[in-house]
Amino acid sequence: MNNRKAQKMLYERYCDAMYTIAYRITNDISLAGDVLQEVFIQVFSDLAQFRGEASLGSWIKTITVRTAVRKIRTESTFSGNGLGDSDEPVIWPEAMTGSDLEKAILSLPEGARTVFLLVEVEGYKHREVAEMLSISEGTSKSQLNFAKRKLQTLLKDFTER
Amino acid sequence: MIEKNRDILSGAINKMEQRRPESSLWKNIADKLDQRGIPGTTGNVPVRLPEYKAPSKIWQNIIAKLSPVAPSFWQSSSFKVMTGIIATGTITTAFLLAYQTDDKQTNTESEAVQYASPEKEIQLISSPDQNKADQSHHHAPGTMIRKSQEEPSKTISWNDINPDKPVVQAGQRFIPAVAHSASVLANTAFYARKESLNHLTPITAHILISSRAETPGIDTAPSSIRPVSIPDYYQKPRMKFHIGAFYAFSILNTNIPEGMDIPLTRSSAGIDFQIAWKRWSLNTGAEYLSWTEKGNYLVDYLQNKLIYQYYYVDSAHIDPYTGQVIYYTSERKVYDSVPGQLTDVNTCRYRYLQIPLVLEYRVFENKTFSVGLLAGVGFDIRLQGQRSLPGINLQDARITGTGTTLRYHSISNWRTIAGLQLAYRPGNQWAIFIEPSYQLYMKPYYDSDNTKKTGLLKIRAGLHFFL
Repeated sequence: MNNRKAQKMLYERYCDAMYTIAYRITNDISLAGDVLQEVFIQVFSDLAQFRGEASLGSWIKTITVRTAVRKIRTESTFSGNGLGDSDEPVIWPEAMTGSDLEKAILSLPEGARTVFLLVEVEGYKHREVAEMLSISEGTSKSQLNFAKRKLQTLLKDFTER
Repeated sequence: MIEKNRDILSGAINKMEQRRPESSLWKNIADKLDQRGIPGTTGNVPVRLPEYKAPSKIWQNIIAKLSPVAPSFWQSSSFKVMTGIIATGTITTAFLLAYQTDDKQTNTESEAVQYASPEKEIQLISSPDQNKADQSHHHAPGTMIRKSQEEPSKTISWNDINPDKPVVQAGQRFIPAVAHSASVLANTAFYARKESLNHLTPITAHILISSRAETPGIDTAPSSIRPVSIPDYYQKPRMKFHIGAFYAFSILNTNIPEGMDIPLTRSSAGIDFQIAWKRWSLNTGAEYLSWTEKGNYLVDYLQNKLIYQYYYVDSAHIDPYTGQVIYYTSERKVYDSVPGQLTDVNTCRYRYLQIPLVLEYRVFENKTFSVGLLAGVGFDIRLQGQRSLPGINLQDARITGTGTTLRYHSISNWRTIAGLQLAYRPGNQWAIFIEPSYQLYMKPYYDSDNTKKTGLLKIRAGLHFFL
């Protein structure tokens, strides 16, 4: 009865990018599928309310990030850690590949992984990340520093193998 | 945190592969949409997504960000213009001050000598009795003779000059040479002033301070003493006070943060207070400025929505006459909290009080017109920064978060000011002025994240009343 063709085209246009974000945040293929499904149902439900102030892609991405974070979030997801406070510089290994980096990102704890993905990969600012994840900017920065230090260690292991 | 070879990280991020969901996922989504009664889009509206024309200023921002080295403040055109204005003002001021000082010194010291007529230049020569060999350069004490060029043979003696009688009329400031005390004149090089103020002939002090007893034979050439009026600017300066009112129009030069709509031209009005002394003025006052900025307001909410409905079979029975099954049903509705996001416009209205403190030097001034160079600072105080939130009317919804793209201005800020003031005085008690200036904010224009220095071109126009 309904014409889904147009919605399918919209889905095709954004599904890969959103699925990738969902997968990287959740680190779970099936959970990422659930997230994507939930996201697009919400997108098509609320499409009439989309006023076009931001790009459609940004709007869908925001919904994806929020939905994915909601799926993985526990009380301790963004709790503090002390590893981000070191003064030593982070040096990225020169032999690092995209595949190594993705593996290392997926090995990170959920909070640090999410912040790293949002800031470094998706390009959000700490203020936006803080709003999106309902955390403080300081926590966002701390989680990012922690993520980078942890990634440095993990990548060193990967590249030395 | 220090991070080295960050480009490696950026490169690796770009090389991370993108994932693709299973193809069956769309079928699930479509089924769910059907199940929840969410309609499809008919026609071809979403097939072609809406396209928006990018504002032209985006290209300028891109160009600015692509510059290999962003020009620092010291290399910026604003700094060069300000430096040029200040340098020009300094050189002009120094020149005028030097000129004025020489002129004033001559005027003061020339009180010791009398003025000759334009045609009759005073010459000072040695007495024939003493030191004849060096008449033009070495004048022995008490041997001064004054001769007129026109009447070189005629001389006058000291006795012809009455020391008690002023050689100029009352109200004029010239006195006879003999009235000066030795203490003032000793060790000073004096200038016998010709009528032309531009040419001065030095004579030594010891000639002028010789007593009449030591110079019995002194002769002086007759000289017509012509009273010379003293220009206004040689009279004793007094402090003057001016008040005024003005209207100002300014054009702002700043980065507009993303998601914000701010006016780049503004109007303001205020009052001026000025203390003037000689060619200098210290200007202050108060200026009121008000404007409104707009941003996007984002609201995340959970709304209790009807996700589907069905008929529940309460009971059923078989009609004994017809044998039909009759169902008694009731409509059941199923609700759930569905997350959503709403975007609206919110505004912030600012009211600022601006207090300038500007030093002015009038490089040109006559009775009707003056041109002044300005340099100083301005202090801005925020009186009000009222944010108005959009009216959000969501039924059966709970707001879970809000955010805005509005950025806020600091409570106070400093500006440097450099400019010109042109004033025209149609009457003795008031003047019309116009004042173009360039002003540069010392602190970031917004509380955060706007690194470019913000400047503004301002034109003030108004009236000054002399108290």
